[in-house]
Amino acid sequence: MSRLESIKRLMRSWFSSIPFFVLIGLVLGVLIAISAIPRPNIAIITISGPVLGQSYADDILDTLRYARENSSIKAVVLRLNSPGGGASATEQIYLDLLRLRQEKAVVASIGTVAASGGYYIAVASNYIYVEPTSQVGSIGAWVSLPQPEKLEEDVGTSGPFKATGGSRRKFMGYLEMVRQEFVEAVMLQRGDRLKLSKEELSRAEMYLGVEGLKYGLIDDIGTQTAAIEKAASLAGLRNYRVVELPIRSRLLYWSFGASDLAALKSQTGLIPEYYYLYFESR
Amino acid sequence: MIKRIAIVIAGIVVIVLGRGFFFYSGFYSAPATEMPSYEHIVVLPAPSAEFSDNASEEGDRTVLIDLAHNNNFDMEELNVLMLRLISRGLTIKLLGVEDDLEKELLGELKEEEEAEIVQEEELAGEEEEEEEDVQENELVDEEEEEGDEEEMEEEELEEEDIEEEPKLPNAFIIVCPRLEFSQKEKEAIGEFVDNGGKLLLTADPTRHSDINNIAIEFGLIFEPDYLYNMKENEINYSNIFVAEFEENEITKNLEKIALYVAGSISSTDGGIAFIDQNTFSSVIESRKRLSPIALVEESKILAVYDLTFMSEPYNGTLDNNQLIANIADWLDSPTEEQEQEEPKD
Repeated sequence: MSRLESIKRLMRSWFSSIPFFVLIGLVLGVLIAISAIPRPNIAIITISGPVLGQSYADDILDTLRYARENSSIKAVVLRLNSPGGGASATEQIYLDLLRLRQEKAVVASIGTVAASGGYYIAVASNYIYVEPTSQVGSIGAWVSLPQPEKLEEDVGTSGPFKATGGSRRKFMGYLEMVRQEFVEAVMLQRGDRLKLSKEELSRAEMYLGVEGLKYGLIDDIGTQTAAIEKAASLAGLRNYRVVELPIRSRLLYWSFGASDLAALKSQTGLIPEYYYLYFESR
Repeated sequence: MIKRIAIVIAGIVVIVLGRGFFFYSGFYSAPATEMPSYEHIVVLPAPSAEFSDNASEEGDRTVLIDLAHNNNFDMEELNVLMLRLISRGLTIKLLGVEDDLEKELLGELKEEEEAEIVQEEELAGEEEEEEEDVQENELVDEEEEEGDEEEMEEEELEEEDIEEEPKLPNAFIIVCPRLEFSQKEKEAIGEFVDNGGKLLLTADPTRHSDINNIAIEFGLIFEPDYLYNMKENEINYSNIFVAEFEENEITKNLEKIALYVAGSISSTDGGIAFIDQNTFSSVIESRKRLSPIALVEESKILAVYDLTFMSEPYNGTLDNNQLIANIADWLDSPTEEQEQEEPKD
């Protein structure tokens, strides 16, 4: 009995002692900290090849949405190796990246090339890294113009431009508006860092990485590792994990030449479509 | 009790802060992200201008258009210019693949053809003589009557020949030829110009042509470039404005024209319409005073390095219609040599 009472007394004194409450506080602290402060991640999203189809654009947008909604992802490194793509697909990615940038740090790391739409996507990030011989630029658009509409006996149309949507001159006017949108986006996002005028940007020239740095098209020379460190710095991360967010339909390898352009033009048919796409015209 | 709760809370805070400090050194501070606005993005096409057209329908001149050298254009593209020419009373003739350029331009036959015709005439004469010998005795009475009839028919045919003799052209238009001109053709065109004929050479940087094959004969070179202006243009950088002109019959009443993908023409003092300081050549960097229009050989040869401005709807921009009217006037007006040849009423 006396032994039982002594144990009870011991326990009472232990449960009422300060070290016990310290231990309780620490255990609770660990449990709360693990759920409240998860280990931060930096996500790498790779966009490679021409972004031509809406399905590829949708997959990229899904990945960006996941990165925005996942609380453990504190920063995104956008690995870019793309000659651009369809104007509409490019603009969707650009606008979603701007939304993501409002919540999380976004750093672009350009590989071989980020031309035309590829560069359009890059300017939505907080900071752009290129490798010394990466190529950036080609700020502009092109359109495959419709053939002048001709009436056929077998097909009836309710208006003069039902089949084509308008005259070639009208679509050339729209092309100019598309160019202005692209140039405005670069001017807006690069701000004071940019050393080129609107006219110079509109020449749609390609620049080597070091040249791009000189003209303020990019922020620094560096690899993906530098981009990850910059993303961590912008997000205020001391210790973090790097995770790759794969895009379902990502192309593993691409090359885009004259034959692909011809195929692209044949796909467009009568309906004009605008492209932020760099290609070799020969 | 309060003291013990405070200890628990302190323990929690220490762990949470410790984890926080382990992973984080600060917080992400989002930059002020300005979303793009699209309201101010507009494209205003250049307006069209009034133009004066001296259409008279009184002329009797002829213009020959080259279609014999696989020319890279559709006839509809010259509709505006042809209408202006027709309204001035000019006759338009087309030079087809089967036609002889030398004969059509100068009215001369080739030596071989001339020899063939002489030979045919001699043979025909011999046959007639043989037939006459056989029938001489039998048809003495009828011969006289037939002879009279034949004479009358021959006279009628001669009269018809005089009436139907084709009028030689006063001007020759060559647009985007893809086939080379032979040496004889070049000589014929040279002689045509020397005799006072006018020559209009037109090409377009967007179309393949071998225009320099003939242009270089007259000291003109259509450069392998296009002109562009990033600062001020007609909807697109390759659609340039030209507002600096040498005063002459081609540029009269012109203030500003728009050319739709034009190239530069090199010549010795032949340029008559010059690009401004913001317009550049896609190829030439050393020279600045470039011209897409040239007038050479005592104003007998006009070279224009853009075809699009002549066609609908591009002819309606700025003073383009005036330029087309001026070209039509130039084609309609006789040169000094032609004035000397033509009898005055």
